[in-house]
Amino acid sequence: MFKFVKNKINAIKLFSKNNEDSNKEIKVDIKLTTNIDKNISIIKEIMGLNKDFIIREFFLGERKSIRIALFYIDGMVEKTTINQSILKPLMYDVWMIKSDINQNLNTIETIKKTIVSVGDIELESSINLLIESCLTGNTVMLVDKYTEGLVISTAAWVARAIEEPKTEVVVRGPREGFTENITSNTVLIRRKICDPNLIFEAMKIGVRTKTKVAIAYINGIVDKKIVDEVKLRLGRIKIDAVLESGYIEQLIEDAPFSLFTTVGNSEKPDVVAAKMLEGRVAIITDGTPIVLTVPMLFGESFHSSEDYYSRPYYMSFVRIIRYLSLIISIFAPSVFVALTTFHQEVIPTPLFFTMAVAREGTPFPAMLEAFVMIVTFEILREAGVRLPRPVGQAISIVGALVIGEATVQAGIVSSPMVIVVALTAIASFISVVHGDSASILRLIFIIIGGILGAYGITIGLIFVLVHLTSLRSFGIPYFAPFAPFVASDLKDSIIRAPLWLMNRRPYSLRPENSQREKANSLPQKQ
Amino acid sequence: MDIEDQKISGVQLTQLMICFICGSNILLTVSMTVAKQDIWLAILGGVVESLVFAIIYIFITKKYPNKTLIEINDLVFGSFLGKLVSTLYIIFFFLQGSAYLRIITNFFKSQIMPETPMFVLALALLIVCAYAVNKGFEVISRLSMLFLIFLMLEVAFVFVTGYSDMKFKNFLPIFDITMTDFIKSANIIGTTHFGEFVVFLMFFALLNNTSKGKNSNIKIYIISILSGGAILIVISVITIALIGNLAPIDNYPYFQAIRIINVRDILTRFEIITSINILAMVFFKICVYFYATVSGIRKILKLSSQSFLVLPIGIIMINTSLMLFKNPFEVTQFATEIFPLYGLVFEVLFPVLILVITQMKKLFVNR
Repeated sequence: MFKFVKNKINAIKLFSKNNEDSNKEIKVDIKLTTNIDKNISIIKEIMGLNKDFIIREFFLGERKSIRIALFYIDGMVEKTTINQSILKPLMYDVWMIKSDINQNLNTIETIKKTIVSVGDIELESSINLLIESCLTGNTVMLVDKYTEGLVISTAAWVARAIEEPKTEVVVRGPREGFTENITSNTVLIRRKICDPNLIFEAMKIGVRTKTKVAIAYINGIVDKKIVDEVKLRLGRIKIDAVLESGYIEQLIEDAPFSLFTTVGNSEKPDVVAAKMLEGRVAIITDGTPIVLTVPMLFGESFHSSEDYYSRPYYMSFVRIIRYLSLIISIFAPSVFVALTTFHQEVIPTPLFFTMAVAREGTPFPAMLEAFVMIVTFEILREAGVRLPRPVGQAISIVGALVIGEATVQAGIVSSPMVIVVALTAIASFISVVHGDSASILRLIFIIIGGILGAYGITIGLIFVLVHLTSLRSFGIPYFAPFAPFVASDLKDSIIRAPLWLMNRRPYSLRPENSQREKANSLPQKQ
Repeated sequence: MDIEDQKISGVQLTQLMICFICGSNILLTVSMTVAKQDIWLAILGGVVESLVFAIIYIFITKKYPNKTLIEINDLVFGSFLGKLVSTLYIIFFFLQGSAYLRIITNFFKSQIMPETPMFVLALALLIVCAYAVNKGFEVISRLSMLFLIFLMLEVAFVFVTGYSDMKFKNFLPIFDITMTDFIKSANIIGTTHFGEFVVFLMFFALLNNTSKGKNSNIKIYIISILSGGAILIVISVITIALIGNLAPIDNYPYFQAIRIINVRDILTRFEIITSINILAMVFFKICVYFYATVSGIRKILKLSSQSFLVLPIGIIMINTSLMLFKNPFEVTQFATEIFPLYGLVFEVLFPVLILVITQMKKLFVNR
């Protein structure tokens, strides 16, 4: 059966591949001609009616013999650079040209080497590439009688400042977060890791968006196979637009049919740096503050950067609480349903009597009750996320008073169920990464628990564990420190061992260089 | 990666084998009816017997390190007879898997969920087993350590909470067992708990190269038998200490023993946790037999893939498990009277034959 589905998927893949080939736009690479008027008209034709596309024509030299044209997109370039470093030297400070022009020197080389005072400047002859660089904020300069144009980097546009990210809030630790600008994001990482082995490899993904994507890793730590795999998968992406790193995540992940995500992400440069130092690869996408990190392990979602910045004892306790809260958020309602429906003997007798009194008169079976309450909670949560903040208070009043208080008073839902659902709801906020898969699993487990009791829940648990164990993220077993059981990596899983004990990088990630600090790093007195 | 090419490490195989032994703990009652309070003695006897079995298996795995049982049969018995023996083995594995499916559904039906149809219970478990088998042997063996830890935590928890209720007087009179009964009960332990190791001759070929050291298979067998035996002894000691003479009467003595534990009226009747553990351990047992059946059929018919076999064999397994026994007592009778002899054919007779023929062939070739 699985084979059948797989074959179908392969067939669809093959079909779409053929389709894509026939639909491919035939792009002729147009080269620059020696006639500048012709060049300008070609570029004008391609750019069409764009109002923000500026063409500036002027003459160079004393006798106004050399025609020059500048192209740029208004708003994406830094005007002062164009005025001060390109136009001014070319139009006024042409003392060089005056003497050299008659000696038949290469004008464009002279302009590049001696006149334009901008850092990044390149020669390019293809009109397509010139327009592309123009669209990314560069300024293109064409010189008459030359079949090459100059690409001068002048990109600058309004960007958000570096702020504290909204999602990964910490009490202790750096406050800065990534922004939408890929250059500033790479700088943020570079400032954390001052090492020439830190490599940023650039790519462009998206036929129409041409989104800049950088693959970042630390040479000598990361397993080279992972880097190659990442490059291979990124290279396979053929899509017209990449608007957010989520597009890339969904197109490179190992298990697209799984509830669990196999690609990690973070919004904080210190977190990404730490992950790269453990042997992971980061994928930075232009236009989004979310940076992807692969391979991802299941336990990674329970880690916070603060765990490592604060002292280990309380943080280990917090880690245990986090794991516990995921278990509660998935299993609490279903276990409650199973206990009240099938296994009443497990509940201590006094508690059981209280619960029986509370449940008396409620019309629905526990399973239905739990299901309805959890769905109600999901509705409330979604409403709370989407609504503007002032309206949000109304939601909480409706949620707490009407649904919580009134349903119990009216005898529709028993009060222990409300308590269990409330506990589940609070616990579900702790694990953000697995929160979405947990909400779906919770509903499934409620149904199984209502039908098959503890037997069904155990079977469901085994199913989920088998699934987690079978997952791989870029060749690394997803459920790594637990199954396969890697004893040495347990020091950074359910607990967080003291830093002086974690002198080796996680074995599960197969780093090339596993030594993190010297073997005996216990702080010592003089 | 293809499911058939998956490799496992020696440590993972050891963990899986311990889980495999613990899967038989549900059948503790069978030997307990014979050995009564001297069950620990029977277990020691069974461990010794299984160590003898292990010597045979160790020799076989050493002679044919990269071959599964099916291929060994072909090499040793020739193409036709070998296929016949392999077919018998596959039927044995299949029936064992079905029997354990029946045993666990019996347990849940009689003890925990009396009104749920047995078919539903069997179906639910087999879906998970089929999923695990479809994901490959690597996944099954990797998962074993997790459940082994659960099991150990549970046993430790039971021991601590039940300590005040334990009466070690229950072990008296000591050595109150006839020689026949001792041999009989030791043989039951040896064949059901440990002798079923014969199925792992199918999986030693899956060991990765780093685990194929000189004495790695000796280590794997010895460690798993000893730790499995240790867990078995602890469980039976807890059982006898808690309920004493009632233990041999009950069908699921360990489970019944835990019902007695009562810590200040707060922790009562948590046998449901034990049932979860029993289910998890039997899950491994069924998975291993299921996988052995499926991969055996693949090997014998020289198929390129095995995942399409999982569903049909699973369906047949459910039906077989429902038809195999009329009632739970027949299971007990089968395990006490028939299996200790019927199992020996596959666990000892054929492996010894394999060994002897291999040695003979070697002698003739040398001449």
